Amino acid sequence: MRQRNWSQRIKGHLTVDVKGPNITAFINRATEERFSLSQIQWIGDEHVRLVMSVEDYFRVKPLARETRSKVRIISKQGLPFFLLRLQRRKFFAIGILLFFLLIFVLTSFVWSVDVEGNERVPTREILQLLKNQGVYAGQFKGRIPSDEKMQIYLQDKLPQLSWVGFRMEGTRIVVTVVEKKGVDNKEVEEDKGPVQFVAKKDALIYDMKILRGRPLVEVNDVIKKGQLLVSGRYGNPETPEKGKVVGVKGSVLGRVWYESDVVVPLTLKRKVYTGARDEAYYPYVASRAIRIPFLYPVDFTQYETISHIRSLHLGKWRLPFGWVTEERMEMEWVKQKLNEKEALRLGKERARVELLSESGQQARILGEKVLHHHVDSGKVYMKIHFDVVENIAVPQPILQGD
Amino acid sequence: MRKIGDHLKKTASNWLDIPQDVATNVPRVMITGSHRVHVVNHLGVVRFRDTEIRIKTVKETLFITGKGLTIQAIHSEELWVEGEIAEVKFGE
Repeated sequence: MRQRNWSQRIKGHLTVDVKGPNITAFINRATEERFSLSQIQWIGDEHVRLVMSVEDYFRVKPLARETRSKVRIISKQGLPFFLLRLQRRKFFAIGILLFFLLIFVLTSFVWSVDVEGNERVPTREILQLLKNQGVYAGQFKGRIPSDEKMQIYLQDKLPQLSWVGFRMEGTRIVVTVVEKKGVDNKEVEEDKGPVQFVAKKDALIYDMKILRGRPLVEVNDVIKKGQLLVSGRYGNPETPEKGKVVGVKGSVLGRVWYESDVVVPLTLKRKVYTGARDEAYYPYVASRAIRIPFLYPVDFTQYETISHIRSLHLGKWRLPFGWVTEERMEMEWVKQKLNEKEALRLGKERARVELLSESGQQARILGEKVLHHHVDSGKVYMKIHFDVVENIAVPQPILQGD
Repeated sequence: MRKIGDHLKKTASNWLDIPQDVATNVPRVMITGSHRVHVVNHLGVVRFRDTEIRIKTVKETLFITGKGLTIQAIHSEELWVEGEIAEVKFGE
């Protein structure tokens, strides 16, 4: 017979201490009364510990009186006591249930979507594509298409990728991307084969640095656009078609003159911050700010806002809620009047910037001069002459006879 | 529990083919290894210590001595004693 069977467990049983001068009498009387006692342990003189069922405990009192024993409950085991305890700690039990429920619910949503391994393809673009397929932070996991489907979809939509991996890691979706190795621009230039230099525009040769190739012009020569500057062939100049092709390396700087037309208005409108600012805070949930209308009134008539998003992080996960700090800065439009001199200076500056952006990094302005200007209806019109040194060599592949 | 006892009694008497034992309430003692003694047809516990348990039967008293003895279960007709059993003997 097993010591604790199922019926005992379901009905519940008690561990009790029995103290008294007639322990054996107590045990014998109990057996006569058909108590079921078990695990009777001797603890000391006139003191035993035993296990009895709950029903028996209710009728133990006359028996104890008869044998002058004292019965005290030490512990209670079994389902009824467990239920009783549970009832007393109802909220604890509810809490446990809620905890598991919460974990289950929270883990059945996607909490973040991460893109790894992309350098040139913007993460935003990939996220947008995912969103179109219903994959975004906050989406129910069950609604996400299979990994394979997503992989095929992304591969299809992003041909610049050589491989796309889509996987779910718990509540995180990881898209791993391997980009196709693009051909570098530099390599393209070098791959062109032997080149020769021709002039980009009409110019005066200012300086030449030729590392390889045979120059056909000299410093201070005037050249025309498209003229061959440096030949890529060595050999007898008389028979240029037969020389050895080596290509050209180096640079040819030429002086070029430009004329720029610039218009500068005499009144400038500028934005100026007054320095007055205040801040507003809004919570946001799932990339949507919750604006509370009267909480942070705007005091300024004209202002600009800068929003900083502060998201909460739980470990390494970004939670889909947080708050937005909105900084408002008062501003004004200030009208600035320019006199002619200032306008000219400004015009020159603008023209210079424009020029340098057009003629490349190596370009350098040697001199500039306002040729002539006139003021017409609040604007200054001017013509500026620039003396610029820039690289005028354009590499051109050498066409070989066959 | 009584049912089980009756059942045991019945099967035991059939199996052993000595029905008069059962009828006359002679105790039957079953010892399993050195850790368990099973007594059928007892008439109550006379003395209970963790080193010695005396059990009353029809004629004699059954002495069980050992260490850490406990009565694992006791019913009106049978009981189990468990512990490190050193000696089981009948005496007055």
